[in-house]
Amino acid sequence: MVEAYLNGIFPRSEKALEAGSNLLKGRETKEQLFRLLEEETLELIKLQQDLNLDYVTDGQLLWQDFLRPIVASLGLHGKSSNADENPVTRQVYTNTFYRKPVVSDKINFHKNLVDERFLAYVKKEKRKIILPSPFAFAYLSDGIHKNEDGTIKKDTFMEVLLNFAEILNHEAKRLSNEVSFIQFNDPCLAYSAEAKILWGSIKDSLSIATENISATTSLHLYNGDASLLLPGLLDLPVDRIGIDPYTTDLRQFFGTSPRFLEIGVINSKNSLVEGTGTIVTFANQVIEKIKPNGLALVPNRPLELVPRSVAIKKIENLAKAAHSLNSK
Amino acid sequence: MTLPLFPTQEIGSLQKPSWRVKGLLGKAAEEDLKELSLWYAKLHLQDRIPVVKELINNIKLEKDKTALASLKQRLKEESQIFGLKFLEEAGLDIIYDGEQTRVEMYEDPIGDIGGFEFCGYVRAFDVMKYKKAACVAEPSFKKPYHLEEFRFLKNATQHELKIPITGAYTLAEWSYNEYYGKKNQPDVFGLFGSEKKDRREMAIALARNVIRPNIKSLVDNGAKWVQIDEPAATTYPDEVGLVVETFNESVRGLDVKASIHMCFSDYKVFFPAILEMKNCFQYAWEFANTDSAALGTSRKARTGYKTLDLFKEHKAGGNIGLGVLNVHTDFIEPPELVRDRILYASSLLGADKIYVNPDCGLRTRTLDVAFAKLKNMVEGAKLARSQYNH
Repeated sequence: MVEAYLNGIFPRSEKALEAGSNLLKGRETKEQLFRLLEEETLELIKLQQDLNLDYVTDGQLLWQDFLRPIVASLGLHGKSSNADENPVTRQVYTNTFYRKPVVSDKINFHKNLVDERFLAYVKKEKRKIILPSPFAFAYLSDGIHKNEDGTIKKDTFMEVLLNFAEILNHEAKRLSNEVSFIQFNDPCLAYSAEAKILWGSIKDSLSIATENISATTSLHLYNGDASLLLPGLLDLPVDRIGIDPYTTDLRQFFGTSPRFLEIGVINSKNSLVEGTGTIVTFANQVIEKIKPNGLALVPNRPLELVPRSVAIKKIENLAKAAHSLNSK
Repeated sequence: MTLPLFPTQEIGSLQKPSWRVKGLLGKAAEEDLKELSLWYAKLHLQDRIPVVKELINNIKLEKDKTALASLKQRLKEESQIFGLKFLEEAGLDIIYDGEQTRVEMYEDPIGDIGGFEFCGYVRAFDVMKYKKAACVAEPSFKKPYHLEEFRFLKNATQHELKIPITGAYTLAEWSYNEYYGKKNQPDVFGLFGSEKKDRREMAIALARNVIRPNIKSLVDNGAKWVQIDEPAATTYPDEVGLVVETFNESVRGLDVKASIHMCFSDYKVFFPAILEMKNCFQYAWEFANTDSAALGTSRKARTGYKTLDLFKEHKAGGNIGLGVLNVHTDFIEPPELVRDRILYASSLLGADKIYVNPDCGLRTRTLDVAFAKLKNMVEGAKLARSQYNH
């Protein structure tokens, strides 16, 4: 059985983007934009259900960036009074930005990280939520665990990493009875020069984050060549590993121990819509050469980088390809 | 024109006034005209108010397409004068027009380059969006797209003009790559690295076929200084060499002062590749975004300026365009804070290397906030200068 599903922030519609621009110019209120995004979330949920995707997400349409709601919940504001004023920082490999969390002390769980209001619209066995991985959070934040030049202070970094893993586990346990799938997104592990040095702690952080979680878990890696993390990558304590074949040398997975892999066969950085036949071919090549013990077809990274209309065409073909593979 | 120590300069776009935006759509209302009158009085442009109001009114009434296009062009020119005067009145030494005729730094040039088709809007940051295009054929030169704008401004000011032009690498990185993607389509194992190869082909073609001919046309018409904007420069840390290569190709053999603006990046990755940039007059980077608002010229106070160490460490040539205004907050930096940021930078690199500017374009802020920030920037530069004159 080949699965297919989404894995991160989905693009907002042109109407919602226009409403955002109007908000900036004072011509629309936050509440109006919020209502519009709620409506679009429900539309996206319905689309995923209609396409019979194996898991359904809310598309994180209300997230300003892939860390902000978490940062706001945890109060990681640095000098400023709110998360919307933390320094603006580019997400490498993209033309998108995030507000850098600032860790100035031990992080405590103040309130829920995830807004689960949309779960009610999805059958429990299909509910999926997405969180940043412990490493992504620690690596992309600033504060006590970083030197003045932005490099990491190894010991404090490991403390922050494990501290955040505990926070994630708290949230994952809270949601574990409500959802079937928890995915951790990691846009930096594959390119980080420090990953190998910190590997033991990275593994520990995922063990902590996933401890006593009944839901299926995955770690989706994008940006950078994840094959450089082999063979340890396949020993990480998650059920599935997600890989971006545009930045990862898949040939290095030949002959490795079989794992459930999520392969990013549709490219979120290009408007070129992959044909169903191409996706099927890609999947068959992976099955034949890598022999994973499970396969999910996913975008190579969150689809937020293409217009919504293009993203919809891409996932329609993704769903058709999975259906075609499963019907044979 | 002789520039003072710590020359102040603009770095990019300003917000477009509502009378200009709605006026072009034929939808300017009473409140927009009120804003026009207020700003024009502030900028000592009162004598132009009747002209602009008449233009706005005529745009509402005009039915003939050709006549309408001409009226719209004239209103855009009025907003260019507004942009120039806005920066002059704020007291800046090196100016442009706040990019009043341009839709946006990507969409505007792409529309005038052969080989691209627009696909739709995506989000860049928070609620900021931009319109993305796909490269569907080899990029080609259609026309010198900033020439008309520059010619108009040259005749409208005595100030030194610095013309911003979006760089080849950024245009390539922000575009979808259907043409080279299709041309080089591999199997699933060949996807690895394919995007990089495709992007390289597109970026080099843009520098050679489009950006260089554009800069040449500006130089042939009297331009002395172009600022190549490369906000995408650190998108892929291992592609900084390509940014350098496209910069060099874009200005190859041209007699012009060429500088580069980058922002919101991990600047460490530029070194040492950036040292290969040929004759780069100035590196204008963002710093205030990550700096503390505390006064002081100590290293501890100036947390946002640690990147300057890299210039010293690598003995990099060229000047620094020092970002002293955070363009993402309404906080109006006091002149004393601007002064301390300048003094800290000059203590590290030498006073004669420091130019003073906002972190990036101020179009993220209202005109009121942008003006107040710029005025204080100019005052801050004066305060810093006075330390050297004593």
